[in-house]
Amino acid sequence: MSIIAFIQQAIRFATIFLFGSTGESITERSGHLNLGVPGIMCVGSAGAALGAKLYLTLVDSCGFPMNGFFGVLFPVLFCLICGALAGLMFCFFTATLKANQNVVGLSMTTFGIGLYVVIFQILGESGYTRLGGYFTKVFFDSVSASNWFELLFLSYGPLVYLAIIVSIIAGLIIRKTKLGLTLRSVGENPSAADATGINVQKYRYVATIIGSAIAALGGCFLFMDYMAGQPLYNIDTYGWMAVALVIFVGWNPDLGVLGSFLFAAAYILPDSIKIDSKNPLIEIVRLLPYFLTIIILIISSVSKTKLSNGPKALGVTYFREDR
Amino acid sequence: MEKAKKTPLLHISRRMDVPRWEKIVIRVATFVGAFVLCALICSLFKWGTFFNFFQDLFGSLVSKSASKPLRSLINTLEEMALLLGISLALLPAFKMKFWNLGAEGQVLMGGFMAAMLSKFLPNSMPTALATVIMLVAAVAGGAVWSLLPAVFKAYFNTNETLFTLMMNYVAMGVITCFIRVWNPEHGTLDSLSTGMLPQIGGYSYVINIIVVTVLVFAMYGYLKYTKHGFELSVVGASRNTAIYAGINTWSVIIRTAVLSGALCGLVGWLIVAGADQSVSSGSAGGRGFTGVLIAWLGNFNPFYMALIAFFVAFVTRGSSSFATEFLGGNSSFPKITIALFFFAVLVGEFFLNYKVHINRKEKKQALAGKEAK
Repeated sequence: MSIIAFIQQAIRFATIFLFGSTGESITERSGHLNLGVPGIMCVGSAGAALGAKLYLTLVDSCGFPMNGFFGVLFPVLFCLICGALAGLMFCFFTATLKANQNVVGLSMTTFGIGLYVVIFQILGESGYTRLGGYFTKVFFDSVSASNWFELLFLSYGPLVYLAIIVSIIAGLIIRKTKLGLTLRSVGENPSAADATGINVQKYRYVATIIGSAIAALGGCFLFMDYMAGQPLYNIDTYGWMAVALVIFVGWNPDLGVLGSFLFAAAYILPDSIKIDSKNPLIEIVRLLPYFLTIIILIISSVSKTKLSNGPKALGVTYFREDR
Repeated sequence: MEKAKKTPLLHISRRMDVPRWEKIVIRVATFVGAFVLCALICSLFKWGTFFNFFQDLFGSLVSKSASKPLRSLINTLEEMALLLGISLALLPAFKMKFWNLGAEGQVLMGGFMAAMLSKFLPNSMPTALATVIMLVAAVAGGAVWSLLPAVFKAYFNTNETLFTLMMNYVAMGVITCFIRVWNPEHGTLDSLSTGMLPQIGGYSYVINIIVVTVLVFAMYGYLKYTKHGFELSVVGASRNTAIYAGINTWSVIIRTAVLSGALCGLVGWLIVAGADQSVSSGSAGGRGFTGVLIAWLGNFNPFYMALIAFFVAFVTRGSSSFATEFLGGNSSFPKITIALFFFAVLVGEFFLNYKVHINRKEKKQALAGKEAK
């Protein structure tokens, strides 16, 4: 595989991690440690499948127009709705019922994985490839395979660009706007934020719901674009890596563009280098992204830079009456 | 003009002294509610199966074969024992606020070490000796897998949640690699050649249940009555306090995390030698994560954890037989019911710890009038 093709593949694959880490960064900035991201990605995939099935039914039986716009819109919309609902559920338990965030997150993950498999069994596993083409179809039409610039930057489906735009905008909002400052203050010190008149619960709810909806898109991308409509059964692995990526990029979604590329490159490396796939050592090469994460965790804890410190109140449930 | 202040309809306050009978009533209501919720969801997936779910749930305790009347009950208890064993292993680490999410990997490494030794130990060796050697190796395997995150946690305060989580995948990768070397045609290692745990009274798994029962009491005593148990709870409450009290926090963190990993390794040995007789990268089967939830929802109390673990095993087996009967044998269906069960327990915990007040308008006005006088 040529180096250009490798980078192109890595950029495409990075979208899964990018959606996940952008969503989780927004969530964690508000002080909610949502370990349900793997489950939410699964829910996103299942939602995309629901949307795709509904759209295909509309096309087949009601004479609805079959085109790329609706073909992409339906799965994405349903994925966003399902992701937001999962986020709402997480918030209800952690913010309103004051349950421990790790427990709710892990339960969400279990729930999401189970729901994903069951929904695909009910809906059937085939048929989505009809819409997969719309997702993988190159967004900018006139791309020649010989031009490296066009191949690297213009040869992807719509969701890849969406992920990059969303993460850059999220990064700018978090760091450069008043809204972002408020959000960060809620995550750093909710009691102080509350004292200044900020509605902590509202910020946490909104940030978590938006974050979950974005993370769910990672599942949608994996299912509809990367696999072109073939269901895949280890989505949760990608979800955990997205959670790790958040630490890697220091809770900055815009840095996630680079971080996710690195993760994706490490992930697809064993399939690209010239190792015989029968060689057992390939299983060790496949561990590269996990080693990378561990090394990043260690480096970020040893060097006590400002970057490596997460929101102070991360994972702490806020209850006004507590001191 | 001043804006009228809105009072929220509901507000909550923390409850301090809940009477014992009320605790029991709330908990019983929680569990009943959890089962009803699961049954409702089941009837959503397949209309009109509300009562069938309960039938399957309780049916999973009753054996159909006349020769082994206790088999179904023992199967449920065995599943409970494995889950409880893992959550007990996590308990000391959690009390120290060391969030060990790596039980999955530690269990796998324990099981793998046991299976590997069984492959290489000579057949002429007495079974008892082989069993002991495999047990030691399994404990060591689990301990090593948690040693690494523990050392970095102790010296650099590295985030152990994600570190241990990543170690899960490393364990799976290592095991897959060795399986591909030794047994490339299959996804698992060969069945054990030696060191299997014997059956008792014609039933397998009984030893697993006994070992975990002993572990419940041992862990209760360790946490409540020993110096170690005290030290780790101080470190968990405040590391600075522990340092000022003269506790060597570094050694406490490493010691406790290694104990946690070692016990996970022990459970791995139980899974391989006492139940599966073989190992694959899926041997832990998500129990590592369920164990985390059981420890938490059991309020870190070994006996209450045992109750929760029993219900989890009960719901798992009941809903998996429901899925076989009505949903075409979907092996992931129990995951949904288990998660719903946990969510229901979380709601119950809320009502145990908080009181909901309804702010009625009249009451407010009456109060305001009183104050004015």
